[in-house]
Amino acid sequence: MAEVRIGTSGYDYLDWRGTFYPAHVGRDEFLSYYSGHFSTLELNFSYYRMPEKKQLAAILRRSEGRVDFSIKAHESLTHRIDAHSWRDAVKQYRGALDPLQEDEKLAAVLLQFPFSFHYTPENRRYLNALLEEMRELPLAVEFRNTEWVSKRVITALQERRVAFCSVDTPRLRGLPPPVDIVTSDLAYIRFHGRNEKNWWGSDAAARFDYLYNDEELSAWIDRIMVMMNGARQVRVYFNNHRRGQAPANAQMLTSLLARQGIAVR
Amino acid sequence: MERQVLHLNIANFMASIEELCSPSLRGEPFIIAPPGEGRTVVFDVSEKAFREGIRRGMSVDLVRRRMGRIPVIAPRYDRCASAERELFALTSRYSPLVEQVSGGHLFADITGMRRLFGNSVDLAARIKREIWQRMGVQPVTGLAVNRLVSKVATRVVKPDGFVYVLPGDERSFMGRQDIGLLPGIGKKLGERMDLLGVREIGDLADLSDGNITAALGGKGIKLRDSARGIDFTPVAGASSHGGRIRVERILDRDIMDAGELTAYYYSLAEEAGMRLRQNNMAARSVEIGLMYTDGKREGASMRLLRHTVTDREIFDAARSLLLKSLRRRVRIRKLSLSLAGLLTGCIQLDLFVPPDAARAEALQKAMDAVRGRYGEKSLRVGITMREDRDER
Repeated sequence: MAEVRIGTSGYDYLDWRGTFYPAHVGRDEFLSYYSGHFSTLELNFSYYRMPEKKQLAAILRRSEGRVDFSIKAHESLTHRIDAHSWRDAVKQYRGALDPLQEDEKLAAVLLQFPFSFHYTPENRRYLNALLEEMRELPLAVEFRNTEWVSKRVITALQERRVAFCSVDTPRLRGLPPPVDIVTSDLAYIRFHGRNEKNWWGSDAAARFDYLYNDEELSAWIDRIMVMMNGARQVRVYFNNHRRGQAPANAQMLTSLLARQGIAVR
Repeated sequence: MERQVLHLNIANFMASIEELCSPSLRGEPFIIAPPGEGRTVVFDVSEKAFREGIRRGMSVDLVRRRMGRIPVIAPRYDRCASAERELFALTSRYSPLVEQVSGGHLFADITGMRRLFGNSVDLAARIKREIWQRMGVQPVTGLAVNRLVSKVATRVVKPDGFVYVLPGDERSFMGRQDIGLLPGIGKKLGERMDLLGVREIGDLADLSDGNITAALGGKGIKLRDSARGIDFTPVAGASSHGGRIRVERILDRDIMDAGELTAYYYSLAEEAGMRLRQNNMAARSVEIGLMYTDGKREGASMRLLRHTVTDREIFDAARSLLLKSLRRRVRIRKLSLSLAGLLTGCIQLDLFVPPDAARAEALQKAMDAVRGRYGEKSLRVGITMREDRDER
């Protein structure tokens, strides 16, 4: 049976103070406190800022070895792709991951593509080349556009042993539908919240402002249990970070799984 | 309210059942084929063998030339039948409209089940998980507004994934899938599509009435509409068993004589008829399938005037179909007979059944009683003894 770890996308949110972080916990202690509650963390600063080796080494130290990490790819690889320089960006990005890899704390590299990344021949060629450049890393791909849900794409991911990220989002046209398929040893799930009203054309904070209830998360138990059957590792991250909702939901899901006899690491 | 139709498929069904019986085979390449030398064909393949390029219908000889020593395992018909019954029963707990198709496939209409079992995605996940936990196999599942799209959906996420095609997304979801995933596109039609430059389902969906008719004739419009995700076929309810009974025979020698083939079809009719009656069912449709030595296949079907339980009526229909289908001067290697439109329940003589039919049913009942007591071969119909004579 696969190992399941549940965590959140990011940890460094001031509005988590009072809801998740007690008032007395200083900002420089956030990660240490987080590591006492969850065993995995999705780093998303790496999307905005190219990560550096020493930065990731420091994060590793502060987590005191209690957490493994999934790290989001830099925007130059997924959102602002430059045909001439993306390979250099891959090199730079890969180099930064050394501390995590050496300590065996790298769970996944997440390539999250935007809605505007359409299923065109050019984009398919780019994705193929990108996966090839990063082939030795544990990769997960998240598509925000439903056009990528095709047999050809799924087969290509299976052949390359790249995880197809399952997402929970509002049921809006154009967004990827519910798809659960284990295409590698890693099953990767992201919860973005179901805020239909604010999904399009909003800032990230409003878009992901959502708290799942018990019923909504309970419905995922069956899906997670089935995915555990096909994978060796399952990573689940809550991205509904506004006002501490993500850690609350992460803890809720952990309890629900425990009730079914599934131990979350 | 939009329909919600779930398609469940245990991929590589016979091979999956074999893996349950012999767990050491999990992850290994193997094939399911009936015993026999050389001329037997593959009935099913394990996932690993499938990835190595082995396909159903290939000759075992060819498989051995490609793969070297690969386990060839006889089909476990009884286990498969039992697994299909269990699958049907399990799914029927969540919907009164469950239709079983052979080979580990079924459709369930879960429209309107929200109040009882939650939303359709959650219900689909629940059914999938229960099947895995109770039966040890994980079906691939597709959820959509109709049978056609849910079936294409399962083909996309094989061997064991799940996908929900949202209402209104049918055409765009189907559109970017390879044309070979559309039901109805076999080898021959696939080659025609290739010649027409149709690579994806969307290419076919975009053709006008005029263009598709010019390319494929009158039937082209239905196929084009399928490519657009249009399908109004209902899921047959549990009160009428939508499944089928299928029997087949690989001939010891290839033949093309109508008389000899007819004799084989009587045997098949007896075998299928026995299964029908053992399961307390009656059939409304008869289908035959012929496989020629050159690999080409032909099929024909017929809907009967009323449900039947007798070997004789099944045979009469099969013979009629056979004689109409024998158009090629090529020998035949394999025969199949399927009974569909099955009705489950206490089959009693109907007061309005014509006297001849009533006598036939009474005779069938008597024959079954003798065979049940003294063995299947204790009572033979003359035409099947011709089959024996030819085999000596």
